[in-house]
Amino acid sequence: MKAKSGASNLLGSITVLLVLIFGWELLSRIVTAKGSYGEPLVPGWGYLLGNSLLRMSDYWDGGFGIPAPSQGGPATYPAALLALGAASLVTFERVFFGIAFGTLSGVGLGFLVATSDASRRLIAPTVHIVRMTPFLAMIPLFNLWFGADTSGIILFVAYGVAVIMFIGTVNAVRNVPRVYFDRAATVGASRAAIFRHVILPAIFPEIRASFLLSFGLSWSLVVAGELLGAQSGLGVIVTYALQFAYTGRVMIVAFLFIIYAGLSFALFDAVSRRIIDWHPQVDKRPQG
Amino acid sequence: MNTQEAILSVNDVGVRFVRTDGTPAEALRRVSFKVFPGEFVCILGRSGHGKTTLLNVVAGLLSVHRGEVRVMDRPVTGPGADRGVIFQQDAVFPWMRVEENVAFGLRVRSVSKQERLRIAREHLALVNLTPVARAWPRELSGGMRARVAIAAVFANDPPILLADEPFGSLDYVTRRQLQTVLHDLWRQTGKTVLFVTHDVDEAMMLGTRIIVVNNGNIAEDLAINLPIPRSDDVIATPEGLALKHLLLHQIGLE
Repeated sequence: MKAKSGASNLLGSITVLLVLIFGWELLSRIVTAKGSYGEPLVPGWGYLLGNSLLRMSDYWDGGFGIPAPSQGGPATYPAALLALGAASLVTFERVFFGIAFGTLSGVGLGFLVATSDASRRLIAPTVHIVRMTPFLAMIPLFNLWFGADTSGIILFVAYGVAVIMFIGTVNAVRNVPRVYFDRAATVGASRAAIFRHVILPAIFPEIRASFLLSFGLSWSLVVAGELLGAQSGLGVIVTYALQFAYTGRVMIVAFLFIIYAGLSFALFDAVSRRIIDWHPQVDKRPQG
Repeated sequence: MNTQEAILSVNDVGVRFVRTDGTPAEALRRVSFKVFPGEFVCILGRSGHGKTTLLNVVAGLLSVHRGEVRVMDRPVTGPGADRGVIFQQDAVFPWMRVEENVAFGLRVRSVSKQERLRIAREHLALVNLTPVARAWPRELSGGMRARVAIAAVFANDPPILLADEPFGSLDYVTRRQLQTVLHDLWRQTGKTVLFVTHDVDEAMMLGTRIIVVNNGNIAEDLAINLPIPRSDDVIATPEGLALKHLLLHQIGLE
């Protein structure tokens, strides 16, 4: 019964996907408008995987024996894929360190604040303001202070992640039922033991949810950061493509971001799910 | 009269709360009593009359504004492993397997893993939970989780055991079964028990002594000389019914 409904679900999802793919192709044939530099605004699949993907080799700087078109070489798929790979690595690095710094500082600060009622009251208004501040409004400041390239973008991603993880941690600790602390104290647990055996496991499901949230956000933040003034990375390809209305190239990078965000999300979800096996609300089925 | 030394003494204890609107409320007024080793003392009273407050003070989870609590002649300044607590709410850690829950007290006191798991399994056997030793608490019923709580507190081997309406949320049959489990363990181990309840029948079924708390004061302190183990028949005797009548009157039923 269950297996059958799972199979029909999969069939349904694939059907929807196919409809979208064919629908897009149909649309590309109906809408033939072109951008200012002659590229179609609704490129069909043939154009996307042909011209647009091939032209990604424009962003290849040469190396591995594959000449760069900017140095007179031909536009080739290997050069295009290498260009995308190199730009992706630069973006990965920013996302990775942004998440790492942001999580460490957000969770750390969260613990500091959550363990004392006084400090929680003290910073509550500030947290509220920070939470309400649109992340993207802060990009210019990060550009000015830390530069528009890697370090500035990492710090910007870290800032966004830290805000979410901080709020998540404070709330998670506050939501631990009092009786768990009381029980630990009455069997003779020290503060360190309570932290390790009660607080950490009790807050993990909530921290995990915050982390998944900040994971998705960090991809948005890194794109936003790269769109404004970075010299390398996937966002830079988009910036150039945008200037010449190369819709196809913008779409290819957008697809890459969807794939990366989806894969990283699924990976963390699968790994961390094992740790909260105990949780009453754990849904054993994979998501999506 | 008991000539032994008291294991627990509550001396002139008063507890005051400040409500959120700023008015003070006295949860306990001037409460004094002594408990002797091996007693099963039931604290009987209605909701909101100070029973749980009294238990929390003895547990060291709540501070007093007057008087003091002494355990084995040392003043209570906070919670400690000499007073195990079975809580009103479900306090079994959902992130630990059943046997790890039972072994938790031993773990934080650095008992070796092998030894604490041996003790945990031994106590799980005493409450008939051996088959679910490796289960997660979410896989257990409320009654089974209450058994885990009992096993956990006995595994930690405290001389004094405090219970705060531990079976209040369970169905009647399960409650009766768990009363028997707890009573049997008490008789086998000889621990001193302070058991809070609002249920007159429960107090009469379990207690060797019943202290009635009414409006923050001790209204009655009675030794119960009914034979142990008790059955419903004992409570149904003229003597038992007279006692029940007295207790109901003391907790406020006209």
